[in-house]
Amino acid sequence: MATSSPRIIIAVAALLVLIIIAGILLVTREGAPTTPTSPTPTPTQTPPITTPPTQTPPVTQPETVRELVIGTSKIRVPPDFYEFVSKVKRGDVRVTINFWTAMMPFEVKVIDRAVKQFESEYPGVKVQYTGTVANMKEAIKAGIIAGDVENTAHVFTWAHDWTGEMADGGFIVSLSKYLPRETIEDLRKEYAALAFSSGVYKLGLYGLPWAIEGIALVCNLDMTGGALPGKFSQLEEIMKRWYNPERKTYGLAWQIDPYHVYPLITAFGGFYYDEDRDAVGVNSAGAVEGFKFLLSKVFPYMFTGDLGHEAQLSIFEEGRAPCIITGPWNIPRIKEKVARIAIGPIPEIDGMKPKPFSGIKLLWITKAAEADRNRLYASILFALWFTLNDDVIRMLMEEAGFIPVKVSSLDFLRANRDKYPIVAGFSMALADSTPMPKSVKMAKVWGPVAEALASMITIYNERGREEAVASVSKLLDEAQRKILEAFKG
Amino acid sequence: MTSARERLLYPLKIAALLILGSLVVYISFSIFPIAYSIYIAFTDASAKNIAPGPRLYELREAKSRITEYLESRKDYIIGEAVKAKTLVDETITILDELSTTIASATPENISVAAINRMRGDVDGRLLEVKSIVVSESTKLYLDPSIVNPLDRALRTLDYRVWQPVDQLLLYKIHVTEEDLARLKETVLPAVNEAKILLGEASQSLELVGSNYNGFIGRAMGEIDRQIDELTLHFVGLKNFRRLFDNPRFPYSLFKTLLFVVTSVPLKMIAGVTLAIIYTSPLILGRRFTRGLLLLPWAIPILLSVTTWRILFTPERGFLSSTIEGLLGYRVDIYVNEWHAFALYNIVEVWLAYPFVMTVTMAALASIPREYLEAALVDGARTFQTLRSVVLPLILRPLAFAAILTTGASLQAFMIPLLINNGGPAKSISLPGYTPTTGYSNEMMVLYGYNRAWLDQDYGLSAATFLVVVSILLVYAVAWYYLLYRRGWASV
Repeated sequence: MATSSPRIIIAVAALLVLIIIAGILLVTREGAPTTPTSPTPTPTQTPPITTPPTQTPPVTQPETVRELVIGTSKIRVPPDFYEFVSKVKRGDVRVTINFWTAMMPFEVKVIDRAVKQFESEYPGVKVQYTGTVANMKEAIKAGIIAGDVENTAHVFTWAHDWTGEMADGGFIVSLSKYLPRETIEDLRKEYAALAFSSGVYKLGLYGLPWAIEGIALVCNLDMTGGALPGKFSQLEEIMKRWYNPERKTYGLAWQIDPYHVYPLITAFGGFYYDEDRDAVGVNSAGAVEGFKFLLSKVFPYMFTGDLGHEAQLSIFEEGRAPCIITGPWNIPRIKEKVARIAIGPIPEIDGMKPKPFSGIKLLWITKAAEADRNRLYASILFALWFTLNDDVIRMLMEEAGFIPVKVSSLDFLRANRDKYPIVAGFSMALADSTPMPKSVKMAKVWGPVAEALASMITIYNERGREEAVASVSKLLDEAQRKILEAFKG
Repeated sequence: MTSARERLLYPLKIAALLILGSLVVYISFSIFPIAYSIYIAFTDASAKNIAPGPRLYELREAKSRITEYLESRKDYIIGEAVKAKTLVDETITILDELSTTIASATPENISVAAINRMRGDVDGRLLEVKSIVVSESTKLYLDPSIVNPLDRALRTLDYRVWQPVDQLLLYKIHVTEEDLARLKETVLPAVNEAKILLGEASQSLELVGSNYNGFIGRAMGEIDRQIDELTLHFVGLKNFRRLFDNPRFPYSLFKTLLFVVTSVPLKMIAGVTLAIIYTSPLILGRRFTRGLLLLPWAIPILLSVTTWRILFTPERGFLSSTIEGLLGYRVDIYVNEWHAFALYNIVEVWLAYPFVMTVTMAALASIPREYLEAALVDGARTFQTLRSVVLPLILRPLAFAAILTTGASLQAFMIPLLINNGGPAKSISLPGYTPTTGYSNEMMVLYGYNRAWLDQDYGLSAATFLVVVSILLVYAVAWYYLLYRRGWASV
C-alpha cells in the first residue's frame, strides 16, 4: 500500500501532463489562422476598381487638400498623406502595422481575407493581423504604457463604448489632429450619422465605423405561421399560443440582463445613464414602467428558471419558443438549427418604440502608431480603406453577417433586401437604436442595475408576479442611490 | 582575516553579486508587488487611474507651458474664437429657419431638398467650428464651457434631428401627414435644444475675447481636472469603511464561514470513509478503482465545475430533472439561495475528497500490522478497532489535512463563480444594517473579484483581499500556536 500511493500520484500527474499537452496543442491549433505568414494570400474577390487618382486636382479645390480614391470612395486628404499613399501603392515605402481584433473564428477568417486584399492593393504596407486577442483592451493599454510600439496594436476594432476610457487615457489617437476639416467633412458623408457620431468624443474624431450590432426580434417562421409581429399585441397572441410549461414550450426566449432589457426601458421613455446631461435615470418613471412591463407582460410567457444566454438560446434553437430577442452574434448558431427565420424591430408597445442599445464597431489608431509618421499614415490608410470599401463591406456582410454602416452599402442593402433578409432585418431594427454611452462612468451603472434586475427575477420566481412588480420601484431607487454614491467616489 | 585559500574558494565579488541579484529578484518579484497591492487598498484606484496612459504625461507637460503659450498667441486665439462665434451664430439662424420650415410643412409643400440644403449649411459651419476648437494652435478645446455645449449640440443634431429626418423623409417616396406629425413631435424640440446649447457655446466663445484671463484660468482648471482624474489618490481607510458600511461584505463573510463549517466535515468524512473502505483487501480490483477515485484531482476544475452546473441546470439538467422526477422536489440553483449553496458543498466535496483520501491512506499504511492483530486477539470488533486503535493513530495527519482543506474552503472562488456567480440576488439583511440588494452566495474571494471586474473598483477590491489575507493569517497563526506552542503536534 505504501508503494502504491506514489504510483497513483505519478499516474495522476502523468494524466495531468497529458491533458495539459493536449490543451496546448488544441489552443495552438486554434490560433493557427491568425499567423500572418500564410503562404496563400491570393484574394478570391476581385480587388475594387482603383482608378489611379489623377495628379491634377480640380481647380476649385483649395491647394491644401487633394482628392484620393480610398476603397470605393473619393476623399479629400492632405498632400503629404496623398504622397504617402502613392508611395505605398508603388511599394516605394515599406511599413508594417499590427491590426488586432477579438473575434470569433468565422469572423477572423473573413477579416483576414480583407487584410490580404488590402496588402495586395498597397504592397508597401504589411498588416500583421491577430484575430483573437485575449483581454484586448488590457493588452493594448499594457503595450502602450510599456512603450512597446513594435508589438502592440496600431489599429484595432471593438464596439464604440470603449472610446471614453481609451481616449481619456490617451491610448487612442484623435484623427482630427492629423486630418483636415475637408477630410472629416467628406468622411462624415460616407457613414450613417449615428455610426459616425459614435466615433466622435469631446469633438475629436477617434474611430471610423464599419459595422453596427444590437438586438432585434428573431422569429421562427414555421412557428409563427410565417408572420413577424410588429406590435406587442401581435407578439402576445403568438406567445399565448405557444406557452405551455407542461410540454416545455414557451412564448419567448430572451436572455435577461440590463443590456438585453434596455429596449423596454426606452419604450417607456426611461434610460440608465444619459452622458449628455450626466444624469442617472435608473429609477426614472420610464425605467420603472419598463421593468414592470417585463415582469407582468413578458415573464409570464417565458421560462424564468434560467434566464442565461445558453438556456434561452437553446429554447429557441430547439423549437420550444417561436421568437427570441437577440443579436447577430447568435445567428450562425441559430441558422444551423432553425430553417426559416425572419428578423425585425422589437415590437412597438401601444405605439411606443423600443430602442435597443447599439454598439458600433470602430477602427481605432493607437498611440503606438503615432511616433512614426509612416506607420501612422499606414494605419490611417488601413482604417479608411477598411471602412470605405464597399466590396470589403459586402464581403463582411455576406460571409460573416456584419451589418454595414456606410451609406452606399446601406443603399445597396436596401435595394437587395430580399437577398440579405437577415442583415437587412437587423439593419432596419437598429436604425432607431440608442448607441451605448461612451463614458467610463457606465461601468458603475451596469452592476447595480444587474443586481436590481436579478433581485426582481428571484422575487418573481419565489413569490410570484405581484410581489415582483411591487418591488420594482424600491429596487431601482436603491440601484440609483448606489450608482450616485459610486459616482461621487 | 580571510586566508588566500578562502578568498579563492569564496570570492567576495561573486558572493556580493549573488546577494545583490537575489535581493533585486526578491524586491521586484516579492516585496514590491505585495507592497503595491496593499497600497492599492488605500487608494481610489479605478480603471482610469490605476495604470494611466500617455495622456497623463502629455498633460503634465502641457501644464508647464500652457500659460506662456496662451499669452503669446492671444490675438490669434481671440481672432479664431470670434470666427467660431460668428459661425455658431449663423448656425443658430439656419436652425431657426429649419424649425419654421418643419413646423409649417405639409405633405404638399415639404421640400426634402431644402431641408437637406440647410443640413449641409449647418454641418459645414459646425465642422469649421469644431476644427477651430480642437486645433492645437487655438487650444480652445481646453475650455469646457465651449466644448461641452458644442459637443452636446452636435450629438443632439446627429441623433435627434438628422437621424429622424433621414428615417422619415429621405427614403420615402410619399410623405404622409402622419410622418410629418411624428417629425414635428420628435425633431422640433431637439432643434430647440441644439439652439440653446449653441447659444451657450457662442457666449463662451465671446467670453474668450472679453475676458482672456478667464479663459486661461478655465484652460488651466481643465488640465488640472484631467490630471486629477488620471492620478491615484490616497484615501486612507475609506475602502475598509465602505466594506463594512453595508451588509454585503459582512454577509459574504458569514456565508464563507458557513461554507467552511459545512464543507470541511463533509470532505473529511467522505475522504476518510473512502480511504478505509479502499484499504480493505476485501475489495476486488481496489488498486484500479482507487486510481479512478482520484480522478477529480486530475480533471481541470473549470471543466468539472461546469459539468456539475450543467447537471443541475433547472428543468433540463440530468440530476435536477431526475431529482424532480423521483422525489417531486424542484431543485433550482438560480433561484434558491440554499440550493445553490448545497451544490457548492457537493462540488467542493467532490473536488477535495481525493486529497483527504490520499493523506488518510498514507497514514493507514503506516499503522503497524501488529497493533491490528493484537486488537483482534484481544477480541475487539471492527468498529472498536477503528475507534480505539486506528483513529488515534491517524489523527495527526488527519488534522493537517483538515487544516489545509479548511484553507481551501475559506478561499472558495471557482465554484461559486462558475456555478452562478454567487447568485441568486436578493435583499441582504443582517442585524444592525439596512438591507441592501446583493448576491446571496458571493463568497469573500468572489466578492473581491467582482468588485474589480464588474465594478472596476480596484481600491475596494484590494481592501477586500487584504481582509481575506488577514483572516487567513489569523487562521494560520492560531494553528501554529496550537500545534507547536501548546504541543498538540507532539501528542
